[in-house]
Amino acid sequence: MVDLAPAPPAAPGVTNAPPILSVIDVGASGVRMLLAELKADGSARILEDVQKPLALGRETFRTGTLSAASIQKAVNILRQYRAMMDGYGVTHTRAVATSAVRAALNRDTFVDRVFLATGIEVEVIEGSQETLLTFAAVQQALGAQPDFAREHSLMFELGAGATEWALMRDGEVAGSLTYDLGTLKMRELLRAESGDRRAMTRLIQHNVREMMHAVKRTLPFEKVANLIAIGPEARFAARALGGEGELAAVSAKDLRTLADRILTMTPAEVAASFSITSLEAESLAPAFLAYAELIRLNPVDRLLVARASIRDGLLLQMGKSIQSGSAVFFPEQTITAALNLARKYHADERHGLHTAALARAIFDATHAQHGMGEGERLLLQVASIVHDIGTYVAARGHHRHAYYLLINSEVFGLSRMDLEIVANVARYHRKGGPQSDHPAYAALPRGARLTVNRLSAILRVADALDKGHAQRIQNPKISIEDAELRIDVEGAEDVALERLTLDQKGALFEEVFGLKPVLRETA
Amino acid sequence: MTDGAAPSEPRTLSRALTWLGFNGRVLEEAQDPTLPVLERARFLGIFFSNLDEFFMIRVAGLREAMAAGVDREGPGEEATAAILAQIGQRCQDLVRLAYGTYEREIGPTLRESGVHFLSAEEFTPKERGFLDRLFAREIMPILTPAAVEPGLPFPHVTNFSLCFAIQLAREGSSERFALVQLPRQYTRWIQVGSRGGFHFAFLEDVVRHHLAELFPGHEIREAALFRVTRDADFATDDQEAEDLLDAVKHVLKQRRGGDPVRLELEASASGEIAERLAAFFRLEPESVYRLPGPLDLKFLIEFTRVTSLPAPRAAPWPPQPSPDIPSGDAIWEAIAERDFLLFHPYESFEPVLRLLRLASEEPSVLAIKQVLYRTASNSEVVRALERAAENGKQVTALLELQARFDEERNANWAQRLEDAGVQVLYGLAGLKTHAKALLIVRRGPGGIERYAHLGTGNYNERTVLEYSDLSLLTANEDICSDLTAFFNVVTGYSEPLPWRRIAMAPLGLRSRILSLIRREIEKSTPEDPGQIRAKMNALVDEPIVDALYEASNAGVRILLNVRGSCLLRPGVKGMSEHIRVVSIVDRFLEHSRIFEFRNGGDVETFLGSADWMPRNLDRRVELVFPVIDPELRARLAHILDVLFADNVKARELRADGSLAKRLSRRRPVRAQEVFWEEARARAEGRGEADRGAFVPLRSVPD
Repeated sequence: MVDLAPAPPAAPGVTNAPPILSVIDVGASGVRMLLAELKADGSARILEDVQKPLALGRETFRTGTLSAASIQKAVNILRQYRAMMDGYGVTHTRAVATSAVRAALNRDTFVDRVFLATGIEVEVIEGSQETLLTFAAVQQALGAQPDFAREHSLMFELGAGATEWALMRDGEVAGSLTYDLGTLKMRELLRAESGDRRAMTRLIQHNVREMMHAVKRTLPFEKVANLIAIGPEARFAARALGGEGELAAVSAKDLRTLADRILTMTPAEVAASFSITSLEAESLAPAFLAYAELIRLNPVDRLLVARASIRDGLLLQMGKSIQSGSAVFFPEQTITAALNLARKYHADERHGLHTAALARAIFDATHAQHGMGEGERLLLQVASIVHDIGTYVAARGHHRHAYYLLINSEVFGLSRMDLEIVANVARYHRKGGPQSDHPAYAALPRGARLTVNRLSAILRVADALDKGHAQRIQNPKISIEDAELRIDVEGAEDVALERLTLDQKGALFEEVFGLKPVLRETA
Repeated sequence: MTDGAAPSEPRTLSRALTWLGFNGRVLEEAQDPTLPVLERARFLGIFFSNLDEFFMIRVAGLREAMAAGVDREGPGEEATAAILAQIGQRCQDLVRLAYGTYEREIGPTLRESGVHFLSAEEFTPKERGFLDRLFAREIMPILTPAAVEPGLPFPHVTNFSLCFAIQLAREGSSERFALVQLPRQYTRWIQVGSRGGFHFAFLEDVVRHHLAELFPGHEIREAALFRVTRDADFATDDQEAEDLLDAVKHVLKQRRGGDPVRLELEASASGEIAERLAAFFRLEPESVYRLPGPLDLKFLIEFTRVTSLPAPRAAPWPPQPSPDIPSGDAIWEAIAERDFLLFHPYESFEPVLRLLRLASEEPSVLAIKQVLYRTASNSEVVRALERAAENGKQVTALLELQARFDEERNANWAQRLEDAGVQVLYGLAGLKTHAKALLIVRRGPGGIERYAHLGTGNYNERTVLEYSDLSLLTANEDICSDLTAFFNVVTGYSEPLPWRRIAMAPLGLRSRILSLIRREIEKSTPEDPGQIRAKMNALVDEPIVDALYEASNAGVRILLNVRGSCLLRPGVKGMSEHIRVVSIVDRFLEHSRIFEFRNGGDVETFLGSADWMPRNLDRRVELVFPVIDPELRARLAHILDVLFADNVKARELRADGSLAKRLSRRRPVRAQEVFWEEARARAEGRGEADRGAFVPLRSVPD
């Protein structure tokens, strides 16, 4: 899931020096970098925190592409960052691009240009990943505040292009959503109503209400105790209204007053009087009006603003990966999101979970054969949970329905590529196996195709073992002997159906791993 | 209206007049017969140097404002004109007093000590011969006489240069007029030594003697020395009406900028020449100063530095070592452990230079970043940076933008730094970088280490000996983090992000100060009044003055130590009755900025580079930083105690803008002497024990 460049050798003469990490975020309104030292306790000590404004978002959301001039500007900024990284002898780097680059038709050109000019590999990440990273940072920052662990909290980031939502319950993400409304669109709305402030406000309120309806439809909650905003506009509001700390509280009244004040000024005046760039200034008033409306639409009296950003989340993820070797971040939250998706399409939840458990057991038992890691293990579980969602459309061909449902969904924490793998694995959980004349499969890079082969082979076996959707096979003993994958189950339960199915569906497994799956009953 | 306060009582004092009050104080030192004569001469030089700058910038600015109808000083054009008239009167008086002091006291006393400035007639033939040869060989070749021809533009006379106006006659032709500018690069005084003792000739007298040689065939009717001061407001950051970034305006301004604002002329000059020059320079009679002695007495500053002079000078107060700071490279560990405060020039600047020198050589140092403002070209600071770059470190030097145009010398060493591989930057467009900051990044065994030096004074080897300033050496994570971000902002690597501890101008320093004042108001109660003690060079920012009035009305006790210009009118009932303002002029130029807020008992103290002036808060990059270590805060409180207890060199600003001696029945307290004694005691290991002897007051006695 996460590719980390191997660590270069430590600086000469220095042993055991802490790793130095850099994370770069190419966003809709600027390019930012955090450079930090990873301490032994896993915390990060920030050494550099830099950001340069760059209006990539305005460009892609209007024209669909990034201009050569903008790409050049980004390259120039990243060259500076590169020099800074080299000065510190950075050992680990991760660079991500969010909505603006994601939405650009020429995103590959962008990524390529940056790499050639700076050696920095920019990874274009999904909105849900963004939310996950920021959420991770917020969760970390909140630490062990029990209040937040117990209650329902809605966290959102009103971005330039879209708003990302996540529902937190019991300290976990219970669901997430990307809604197509951002400050840029709101600004366009404002412009259309040029001058009439009340009309502008009404328009924004209307759009925000629509969004809140969608959030309530999609995310499983009755009411929330906390509304947590993340993102630069929210942080600015907190600062301007005197809020302090990791979670600063601001009231709807103050937000509206501030928005009214800003609406009477030009962006240049806003920039001057609040000491921000005029680019940032443009999105403030719409954002504040939206915040105020969100407070009104929820049973909360204030908005909590989290200081943490996506970069903090990236740092956290890198630190975790360096120290524990595992690059998977919040697997529980991703599983939860997969379950929500399964529920949404009325899939058999218990079957999904049981299949996932069986698949996990097979995955672990065959580790020596496939050598796959934490990331793939998680993808397998997600695919197992959601493999039947296609039945929502029709039982016939449900594996194909699952494919397109998945490809058009978002699963918290999964990248676009992750989701394509999951969709393909679900696609191949029954009927014919992966074939190079299937366009969706063929379009995957070779590495991803191999992953699909292996994971769908495992999923087919696991699915066969719960053919009756009755969870009859519990805690099987799995071993490898004589070119067989031996699945031993104890007890008197009748597993004839499962054995029969396994005979049909095990062929792919045998093909891929060279092991014949065999279900045996022991006394 | 028969009783009560006048309703139109002005809320503020005049910035220019209070500044003149300060310069009057400098003159007072020159007049003080208890001081050694060279010290008096030095103060006289400083007085004239100050006045030059005042005319070049302040008076020029006011004249411009009046011409443009821009309100600078008071509520209207009329007010500006009135202020200008008052300034003119005051300056004429001060200059007359100053020349009286020179002619009647300092000159004669110098002669008694064996230091003589001789006039042409006083030289022996042998000396005469020496000067003649000197003139022919060295001076004559660099003189350029310029004829003043009717119909041709008047030759340009450089700002502050000494110049002869010469009336020539030639048989059979009409009278002519010519100018001879004295070479500025040539020394003003020439030692002629054949009689033992110290005999000097002024350059102008040597030239005067030979003027005829420059105009063969002419008879010299009259030669009068003069000096013109021009508007140099354009070249400085002291601008109020325009936007520096506006290039068009800037050029216009430059063209207009050189307008003459003052003419100084030998008293012996004829009325005819005086009128002629005044007309050439379009100056009214009030701006013409007829001086009964040598022009440009500013030279006395340099002159009194000649160490061999036999005249009495003040006992030296050489900088003392700071015993807390270990020697050699143990300084790294010491700073990593705790913060250090250095009080210059009582304490030596050596640890700062040492840190820089060590950093330039140590392999573990990755980067050095520094702001260089008015740094000498051959300074140790510049050499260390050069060396560091040569040793492969990332070195960033930030020079103030306008220094590039200052002098060629400046450009030279900037070039030298660049050649060595230093990244030389000129700061943010339109903003002078006035902050004094140094950041060193080192790779230690446990990770990246950062060390910072923050100060109130420039990295200039001369001023660290003559200005009273404070230095903080720290490895505090928040401060170093802020400083890292600060350098990213001023070098263009990043846009500003919220600070952890520091405040930076022009991004929110004023609002930070205002909020600190407001907090003091909020926490002040009749039983437990708030207190603000602040020291700075000038206080002319109206929003801050208003906030201080408000604080006074809320019962906050406010003690200000303002060296020069002060807009605030202290001690006015119902407006500023809890505010007292004192000013200290003594041997060292008071230059530190200290801001202390009582904060309900949880005292917060800041140091910085910024005065409370619009110039510093809006158009300069300045840093103000907190002193976090409680021990150091206590030391700063003690420094403020002593400063406010001074009753020898301090004067109190009265509501009418005048300065008054502070009457005290206590024994005399001279703050700078106390600081020097304390520094020496510490260096000699007598430590804190003696400190108690020196007025540990917590506030000014009423």
